Amino acid sequence: MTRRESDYPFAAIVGQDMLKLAIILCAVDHRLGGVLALGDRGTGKTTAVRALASLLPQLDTVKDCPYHCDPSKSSVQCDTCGSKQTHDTERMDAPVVDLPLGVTEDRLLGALDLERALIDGVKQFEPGLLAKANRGFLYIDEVNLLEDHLVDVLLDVAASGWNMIEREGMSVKHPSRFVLVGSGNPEEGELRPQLLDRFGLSVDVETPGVIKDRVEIIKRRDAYDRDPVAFVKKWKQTTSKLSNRIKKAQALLESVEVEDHVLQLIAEICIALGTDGLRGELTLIKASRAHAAWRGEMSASIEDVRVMAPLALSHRLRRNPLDDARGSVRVERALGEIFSKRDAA
Amino acid sequence: MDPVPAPEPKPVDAYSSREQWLDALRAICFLSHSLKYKDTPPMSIRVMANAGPVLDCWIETLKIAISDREIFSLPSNVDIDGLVGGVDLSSTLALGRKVHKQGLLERADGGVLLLAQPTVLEPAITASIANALDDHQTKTERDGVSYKPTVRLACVVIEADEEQISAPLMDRLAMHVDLRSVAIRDLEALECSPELTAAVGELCVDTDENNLNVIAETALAFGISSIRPSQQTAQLAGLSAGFNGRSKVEKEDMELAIRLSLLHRAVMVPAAPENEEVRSEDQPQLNENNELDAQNEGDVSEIDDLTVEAIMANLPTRILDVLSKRQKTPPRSSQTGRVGQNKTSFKRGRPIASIRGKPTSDKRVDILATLRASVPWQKLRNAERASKAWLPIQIRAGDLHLKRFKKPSESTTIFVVDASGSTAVNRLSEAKGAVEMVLSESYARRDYVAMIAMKGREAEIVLPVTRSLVLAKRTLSGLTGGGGTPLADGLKKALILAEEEMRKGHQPSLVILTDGSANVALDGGAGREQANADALDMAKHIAVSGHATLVIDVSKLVGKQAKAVADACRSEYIAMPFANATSISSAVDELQVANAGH
Repeated sequence: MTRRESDYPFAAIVGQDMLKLAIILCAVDHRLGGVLALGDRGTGKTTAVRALASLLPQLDTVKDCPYHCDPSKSSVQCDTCGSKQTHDTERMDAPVVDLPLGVTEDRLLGALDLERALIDGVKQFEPGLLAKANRGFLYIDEVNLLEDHLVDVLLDVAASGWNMIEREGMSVKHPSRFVLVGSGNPEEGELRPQLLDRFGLSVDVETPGVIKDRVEIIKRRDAYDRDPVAFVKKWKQTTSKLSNRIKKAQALLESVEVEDHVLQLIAEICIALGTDGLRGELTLIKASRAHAAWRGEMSASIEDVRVMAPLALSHRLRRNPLDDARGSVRVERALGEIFSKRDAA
Repeated sequence: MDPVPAPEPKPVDAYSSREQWLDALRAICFLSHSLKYKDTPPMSIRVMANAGPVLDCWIETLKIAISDREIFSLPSNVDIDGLVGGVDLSSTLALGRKVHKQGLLERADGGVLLLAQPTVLEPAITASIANALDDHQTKTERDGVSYKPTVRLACVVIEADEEQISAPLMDRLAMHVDLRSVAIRDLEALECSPELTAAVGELCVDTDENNLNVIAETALAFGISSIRPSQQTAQLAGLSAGFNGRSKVEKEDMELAIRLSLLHRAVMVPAAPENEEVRSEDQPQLNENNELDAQNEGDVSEIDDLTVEAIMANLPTRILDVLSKRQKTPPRSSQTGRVGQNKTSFKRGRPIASIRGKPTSDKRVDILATLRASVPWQKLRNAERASKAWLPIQIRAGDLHLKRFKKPSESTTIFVVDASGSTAVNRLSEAKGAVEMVLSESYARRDYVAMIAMKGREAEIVLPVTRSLVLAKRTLSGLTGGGGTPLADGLKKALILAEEEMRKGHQPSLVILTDGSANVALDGGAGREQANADALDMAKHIAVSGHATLVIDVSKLVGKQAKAVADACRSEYIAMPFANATSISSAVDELQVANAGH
C-alpha cells in the first residue's frame, strides 16, 4: 500500500501523550475496545488516528480471502476459509479503514454487486467496509455525526464480531473483528451513551498550550505538507522502533499477570465512581495489563491502574448535572481520594 | 446575539474601510495563488458582507483572479449525495455498468466552492466540506460505489451575520475579510489594484522560527487553541513576502497575516484594559524592547507578562482597535450551543434522505426511493421468476424505503398574553413574572421568543421574534392592561406566526396566558357569544396544526372558559392560582421536550 509511505508518521506527533498511549495500547490489545478521541477542532485528533496505520505490524492472512481471515484461527474464519483444512497464506498491512460521512448501509455492510446484477443477472456478494476492516481498525471521524441507524448496525457487529447480511434471498456471514476508533467534537453534537460505552478508552484531546510545542507542530506539519515522502523517511526509524515495541508488547501480553490487590484497587475505583455495569472494570483490567506489557513488565502494577483509569472510565460516568467537570477530571479526583485514604491507612 | 440590526460599524480610523477593501483584494490574491501553485494548500476565505455592489465587485474580482478556474455555488439544500456523489442510476441502467455520479466537491476540484448560505447547512455537509479542505480528497462509499477522488479546492463562505457558521468549517477558512463597512467610493479609489496583476507566481517564502514564535504567542494570547489558524498565518506570511518580492518574511507580512487569519478568532484581548492609554504612548519604546527580545528568543515557553507586552507592542494599534471593537460582542460560549441536537422524525419537518426499513402506521414509504432501490435488481428477479408470468417491476420487502424528516433544532416560544382590562386588574403582573422567568431560560437555551398582546380591538405582535432578552423584558414591563379581549384574533396571529417560524426551520411552541373570556370577535365586533365561538374555532385550528401549546389560566377564580380553550387547542393546561412562576417555567420546559420528542 502506498498509504504508509505518505501518511503522517505517528512518531512525529508533538505532545498528545495520552491519545498516543491509548492508540498504542489498542494496537497492543485489540480486545481493549477501541479509542474515542474527543476534543476541540484543530487539536490533531484525526492526524494521530490516521498515523496509526504506520505503526501496525503486518498480518498473516489467507490468500485472496476478501475478509483476510487468520489462517491459524479456524473459529473466526469465513465459510470458505473454514471449510478448508490448509490455506495459502500471504502477508498484508493491517487494515485501517476510514468510514466517511455519508456512507450508506450497503457499502458499510456489503451488498449484492450492482454491476454483476445488471450485466449478468447474477447474485454476487460485494463485501463492504466491515469486511475490509476485519482484523484491523475502523476509523470514524466525526463519530457524532454518523446516522443513528448506521451506528446501530455498527454496534451490533462490533459486539458479535460477525457481520450477517440477508438480501435478495442471499445470506452471507463473515467475521468482522475490528478496533473501533472514533473522533469527534462534543460541541458538534452529543454522542449516544450506548456508543460511548462501547469504546474501551476515551481521551480528551487538547492543544498544547506551550509555545515551543505549538511552533514545533507548525514546523513539522509544514515540512510534511511540502514533501511528505521525505518527511516520512526522516521519521522512519523512530516509527519502526515504536512498531517493534508494539510487537514485543503483543507477545508479552498473554503472560502479564494482574494480581489480586490490583484487582481490588480496580473494583474500589469503579465503586467510588459509580460506573454502570462491569464493562468499565473489565476494560480497566485489560488496559492495565496492556500498559504493563507496553512497559515490558510481567505484572500490572498500581501505577498502571492509576495511569489507565482516566482513559478507561471517564466516558462511563453518570452525568451529574451539579458537577460539570470533565470525566477525566472527576476520575482523577476520585483517584486522589482513594490513594490519600490508602496512604493514611 | 442580538438580531436587531446593529448600527453600521463605524470605520475605525486606524483600520479604514479602504484598507479593509485592500485586505479583501489581497485575500483574493492569496487564494488564487494557492490554487494555482501547490507550494501552499488552497487558502479559503470567509467574507462578512451584505448583498450589494461591494460584494458583487469582490466576487467579480475573484472570478478574474482565478481566471481559468471555475466558481461552483453550493446550493443551500444540497444533500450528502449531491456533495460527495454516489451511483448514477440512470446511466448505470442504460450502460449496464456501474457509473458513478460526480459530487459537487469532485466537480469543484481545482476551483472555488462558494457557500452563500453557510448557516442553513447540515453539520454532516459542512463536516464533509471541512474534511475535503483538510485532506484534498473526498471519500465516497455510497450505493455500491466506492472511490476517493482528489479534490483540491478553496472555499469562499459569504456571511451576513457573525458567529453562525459551523465551527469546524470556520477553523479551516484561512482568511477573514469584512466588507460590511466598505463603501462604493472605496472601491473606486482602488479599482485597479496593482497587486492583483503583479507578482502572481512568486514562490511562497518560508516563515522563519522567530516569526513562528510570534505567531504561536499571538494565537495563545488571543486564546485561540486550535493549531490550524497558526499554521494558516505562517503560510499567509510566507505568501505575502513572496508577493512583495521579498526573500524573508517582514513585519508587515506578519501584520497582514495576523489580520487576515488570527484576529477574528480572538476570544480574549491580551492586555489589561487599564494599560490602554499608556501603551500607545510607550509603544516605540516597547517595540525596541521587543526586537531585543526577539533576538535572544528561543527559550520562550510560557507566556509571562513580558511576552504579552511584547506581543501587544508588536501588533499595530489598528489591530487592537479592530479587536476591541469586536469585543463588544462576547464570543459565543461553546458549551451552551445546541448544535447537533437535531432530531430525525418519520412524520414532520424538513425532508432528508430516506432509509431502508419496514413501514408502520407512523412511517411513510418513500415510493421513489423504493423504486430506485428495486430497479437495479429487476434483471435478477425476472430471471428467478423465469417460469412464472413476467412482471413489469418487482419490489421486495427489502427495497422499501421510509421517508424521514429533520426536526428543526431551534425553537421559538410565542407568548400570547391577555392584557385586557379584566386581567389587568388582578393577574397581569403575575403573568409577567412567569413570562419573564421563561424568557430568561429561553435565553439561556438560545431559543427565540415572540409576544402577542391581546387588548382592545385586536391583538398585536408587541415583540417580533427575537433572541434578545433585554428587548423582551423591556416590552414586557412596558405592557399595560386595558380594553377588551380579542382572544380569537390573538390565537389567529399566534398561529400565523407559528407557521412562519416553522417555515424558517424553527420549532414553534405557543404559550397562551388568558382567562378565556373573550369579548371581541374575530371581525372586531363586540359580543361575548360570537367572541367565544370565534376563539374556540381558532383554538381548533391550533389543535389541527399540531404545534405544542400550553394554556395558562389567569382568571381570578378558575373558570371553565380557559379550560375550554385549552381543550379546543388540545393543549396542556395549568391554572394560575396553582401556578407560580417556577411551575409555569417548568411546564414550558416540558412542552419543549415533548415538542422535540415528537
